[in-house]
Amino acid sequence: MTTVQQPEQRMRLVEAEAERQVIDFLLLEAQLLDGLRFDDWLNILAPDITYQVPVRATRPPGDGSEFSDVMFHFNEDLESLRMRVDRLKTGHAWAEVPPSRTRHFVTNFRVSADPDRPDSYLVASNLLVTRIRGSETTWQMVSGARRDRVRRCASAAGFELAHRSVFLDLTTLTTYNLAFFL
Amino acid sequence: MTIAPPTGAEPANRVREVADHVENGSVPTFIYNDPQLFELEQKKLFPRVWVFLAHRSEVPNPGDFVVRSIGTDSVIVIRGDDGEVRAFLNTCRHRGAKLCNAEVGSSRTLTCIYHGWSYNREGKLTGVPFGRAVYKDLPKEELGLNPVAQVDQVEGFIFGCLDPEAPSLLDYLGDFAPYLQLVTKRSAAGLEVVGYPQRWIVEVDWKIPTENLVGDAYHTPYSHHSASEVGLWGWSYGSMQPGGTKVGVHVQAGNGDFAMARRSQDFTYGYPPSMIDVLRSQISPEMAKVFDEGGGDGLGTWPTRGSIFPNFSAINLPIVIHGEVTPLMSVRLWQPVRPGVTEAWSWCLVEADAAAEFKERSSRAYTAAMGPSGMVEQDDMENWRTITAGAVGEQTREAPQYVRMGEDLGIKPIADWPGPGTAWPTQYLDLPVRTFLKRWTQWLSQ
Repeated sequence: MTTVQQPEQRMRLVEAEAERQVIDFLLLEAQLLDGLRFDDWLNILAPDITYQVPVRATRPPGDGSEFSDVMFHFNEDLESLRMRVDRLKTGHAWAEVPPSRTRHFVTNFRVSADPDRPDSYLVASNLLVTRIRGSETTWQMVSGARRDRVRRCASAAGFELAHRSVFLDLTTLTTYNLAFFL
Repeated sequence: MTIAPPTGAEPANRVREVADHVENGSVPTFIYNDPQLFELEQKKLFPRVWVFLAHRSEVPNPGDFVVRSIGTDSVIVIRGDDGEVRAFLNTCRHRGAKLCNAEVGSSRTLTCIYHGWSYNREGKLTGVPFGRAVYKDLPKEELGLNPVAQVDQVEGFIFGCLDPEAPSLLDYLGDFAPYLQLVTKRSAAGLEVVGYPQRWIVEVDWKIPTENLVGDAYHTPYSHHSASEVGLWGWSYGSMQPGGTKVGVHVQAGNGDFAMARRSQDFTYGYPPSMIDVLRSQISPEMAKVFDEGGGDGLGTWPTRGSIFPNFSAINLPIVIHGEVTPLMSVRLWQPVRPGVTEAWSWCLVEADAAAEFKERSSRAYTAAMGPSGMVEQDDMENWRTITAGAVGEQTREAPQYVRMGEDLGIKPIADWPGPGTAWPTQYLDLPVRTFLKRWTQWLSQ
């Protein structure tokens, strides 16, 4: 299981153009997800991607990590993400019929150079996803901290997502499912 | 989501109405969204039944605690220095402040932030700031935390009961208890919880998911059709249809109703054969017969899903992960929050002495299929929400549902079932749902 170095602890300056490109890549990714373009989304994921959303429980301060390192809401690789997308494409994934109208608000970007590879960047960001389906009149929301690893590659997008961790603010989720990607 | 307004009808009459409906093979939809019935459940049901609190592996060492609920009461479950697990109302005896606002942790004492009163790991009041300067004769021995009257464990599952007069846990479970071995004894060290439970709020009455897991095999081919299409299931589509092996047996025993697959003896559900050897060596002779002969015609059986009254369920299924058949094991609690709203709790369990590789694979199988992101469970919640949401409507909530599957086919119990309780040769029955609701009306009528 990969962990991503906290960028604020090992900030290595990234030149402005690289930073702009990395952020633009993640905003492209958000656009693909909100546009339900899941095949295009799979195409910008690295072949060795790890994608994790750990389960969180409230602990007394100083009494260990609230985030489990063994239990997850999502604990995916490319093959399992592809299976999830395939299921959505069957037209029989009732939880997403009609599909969620998600809006991924990705903000508070801080980009640093990955100390392990020259063509790789660590990105900390804030995530807010709003979700409405069908004729619902109340928004469902998820918020959390993203820690991503983004690598340059020879593709149309110029980058691939190599790792994502989402550290949710909630312990008990208030969305009736997590049928959408974070 | 709207909550239905009180009808003005006497709740006791409504319960009698439900009992009459169930007797005649129907269920009125109002029971899934009714504030008066919710209140009656909180007064007459949850304070008197045994409710699942935690698995022993969640509180392994003295001082370890988790905060859970019985009905709408918050409860601290804590292991004492003497090794005993106890449960207490999560409220300070002084002025009623909530004692613990964490969900899990480990502590020497439980100290209230209001006036600093502190309690030890056995719930005794041990610390009172300013002590004798402000109290001359404080009866400390009488001011320990309010205990949950009875706390007991079976096969590592810790239950609590608020009623001191209630029968023991084993008596309450009755004939169901021995069947737990079939899922707990694949390891000499028993099961352990992986990490923390998943928790999520669903706008559904708690009875709906309980019923789904008590006796609804019928929904699997259609609701979970997409799971079949992507090859997630560790069994064939045909085996889920009437007459299929996956839906082969239903058992009613004590306070439990559960489904068992008929399996060829070498279908191990993806458990390493060594674990099946351990299982066979540890279970009782009676359960060994259920395991290896219960399916009849050389077929064994395997428990797949079920519920213990009132709101505790379990699932043990084979899932395909990375092309490999992999078992998942989960228990769940459908925690009532308010009328029409449930907090779903779901624990992933694995064999405590399994190889790390197996534990990881089984945990992934669990995450892929179950819980709020599960490719199976997502679709269940879609079904459930719509029932409670629709039950707001004045006409809709009085409209009876049809629960008579199995009646007109005259299905009879299995004559030579080797285990306790009664077993039927199919899961395509509405009997388990009617039994559940009949029990519910009985508790609410007492």
